[in-house]
Amino acid sequence: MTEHPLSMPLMLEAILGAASEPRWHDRLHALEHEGGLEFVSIPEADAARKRMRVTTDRGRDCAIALPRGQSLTDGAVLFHDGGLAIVARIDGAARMRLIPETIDDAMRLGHWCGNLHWKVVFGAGWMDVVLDGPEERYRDRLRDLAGLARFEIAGAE
Amino acid sequence: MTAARVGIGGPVGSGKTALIEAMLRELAEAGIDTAVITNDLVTDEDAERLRKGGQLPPERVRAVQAGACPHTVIREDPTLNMAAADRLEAEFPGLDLILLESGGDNLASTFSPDLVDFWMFVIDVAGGDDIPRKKGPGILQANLLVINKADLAPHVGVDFPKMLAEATEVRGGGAVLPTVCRKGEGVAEVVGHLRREVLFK
Repeated sequence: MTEHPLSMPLMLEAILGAASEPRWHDRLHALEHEGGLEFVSIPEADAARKRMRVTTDRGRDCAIALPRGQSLTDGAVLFHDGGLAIVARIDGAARMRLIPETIDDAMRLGHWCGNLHWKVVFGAGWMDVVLDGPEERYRDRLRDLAGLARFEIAGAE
Repeated sequence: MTAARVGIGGPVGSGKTALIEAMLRELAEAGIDTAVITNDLVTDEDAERLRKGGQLPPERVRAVQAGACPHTVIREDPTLNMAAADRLEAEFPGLDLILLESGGDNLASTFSPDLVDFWMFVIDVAGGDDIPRKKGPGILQANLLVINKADLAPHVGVDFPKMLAEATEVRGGGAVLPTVCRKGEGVAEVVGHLRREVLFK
């Protein structure tokens, strides 16, 4: 059977502001008491996308279609008409911290993770791998490196 | 509203260009204004094929030459493709959709979310029914997995319902659609899926 759009979603086509801004804070707070504040949860891995179909925490069907110059951030206000506001929540991805023993180990570890195209965040003496899937899948790949580099796997803070 | 950018990746010969050719007919019927960017290694082969097909004016088909690893221009440094898409949008106001075809590759290619809003991965039955079980990043992470050449299953010893079920299982229930692009079968479903998930029209 051909799959066609059954109904038009509520279009969210711009970021109007940030929930943390004073001018939005009071408005959203008031709407929350009136039951007019809804949230869409977006995985961190999808936050760079400009378009996606999403459902609010109250089941409202929405479609995000942002201009190329705008980016989704946690607390982005996507809709407001006086009676309803919709705010984005970016769900932080799980991370796995890798701590190499020496500079030599760090170079091997960095080269390995680069070859696997993993998204990483660097810190002082550590590297966080941003997990886009089960942690076990990432640990499986690191087992192959065990004899070549010494490093510790820790949970990210 | 800016045009949706949709990536199409998959192994060499799986039917990426054939899928685009078949989709262009459906998209035109639905009134969806479309342009295409192809990625080849060092030629414009796929772009030329689409231009010769005549379903889009030639100026709406652009080619990017990856030079080497086709992953790089859709993931690590997608600036060439982003610039090509920006130019298309500037030259054709009102464009609804830009399809970005990756150079043919293995099972590991994925698209950067900085480049595309949605991407699909095309594999084919003749490549073997073990492909979904190999769980490459393309298979697991694509927004939509297309299994093409479904009609070849009896000729290459593939239990197609089982292959479809395994693909759905490894993707955790993520969307999987069968096609026979050469005959246009299943293509309306692919376009319908895009309309719902990313075109919104």
